[in-house]
Amino acid sequence: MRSVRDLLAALSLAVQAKMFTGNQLRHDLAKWLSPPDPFVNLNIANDTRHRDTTKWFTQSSVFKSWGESNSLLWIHGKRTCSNPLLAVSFYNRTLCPQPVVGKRFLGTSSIKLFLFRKLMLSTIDQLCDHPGFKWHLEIWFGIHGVLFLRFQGHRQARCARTVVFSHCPAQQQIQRFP
Amino acid sequence: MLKASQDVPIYFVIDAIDECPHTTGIPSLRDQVLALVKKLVALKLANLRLCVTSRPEDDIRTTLGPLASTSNTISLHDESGQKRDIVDFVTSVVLSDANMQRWREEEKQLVIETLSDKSNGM
Repeated sequence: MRSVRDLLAALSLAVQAKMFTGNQLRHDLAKWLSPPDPFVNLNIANDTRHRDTTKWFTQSSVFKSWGESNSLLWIHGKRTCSNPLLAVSFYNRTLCPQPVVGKRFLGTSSIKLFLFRKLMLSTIDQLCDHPGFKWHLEIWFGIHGVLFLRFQGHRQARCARTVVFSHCPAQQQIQRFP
Repeated sequence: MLKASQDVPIYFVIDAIDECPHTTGIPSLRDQVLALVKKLVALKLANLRLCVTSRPEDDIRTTLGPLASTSNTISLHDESGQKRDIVDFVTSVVLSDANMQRWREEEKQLVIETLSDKSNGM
């Protein structure tokens, strides 16, 4: 199995030499990121959900007003919250016609999916797919090997953000630079 | 990333925060998650829609209570829609399960009513 450093080296050389772009680069990046499948838990939860369950909530005025403001919505109950039905309802009920960036559902049955690193890998992977983002990839070799991703919005240059993702086990963290 | 997409809404739902461990570590994992929620609310990002579900345990209530307005706080225990969901589900199981087909109608009805009444919003 190739090490992260080897993959970085291969990607870096490819980018520098402009050997491939577009789909091939995207394919290699996805392979390198290896994000978790976000639909496994969603499908399990959807299968166990009884028809029309939580409709009372997604059709309520509270839900509607929450979707139009930036306030915090807190739902509490005895044990109901230990199942993911409400979360599934949120997911299924798309408030905007087209998710611009993407959607991720991480169920409680797979605690590993909650790892921040995997969530970020998954999000980065989906960001790369979105046509609203043009992205280019720069790879920088630090001591630990770092993937340097820069996303830039088409419409607003001020949206440009750079995400640095370290794959060193001791430094699995995201840093964002303005 | 949240700030990078200010022109599109971002829905951030954290389900069952009470299942996050509260016993180990200082601060505990749950304290860290609650601190993150607090921080996200304080950012006041116009496009961020944040929702948290949990049991109303003391530490969670202390943190989330002041952050969520009364109109944006839902108690499932008191919610009639939640009770209706339970009745619908129990009824569906009792009427469709092959083993329960042999039961008399009044027995089925008794099971549906008793389970729905005693579920207590669970």
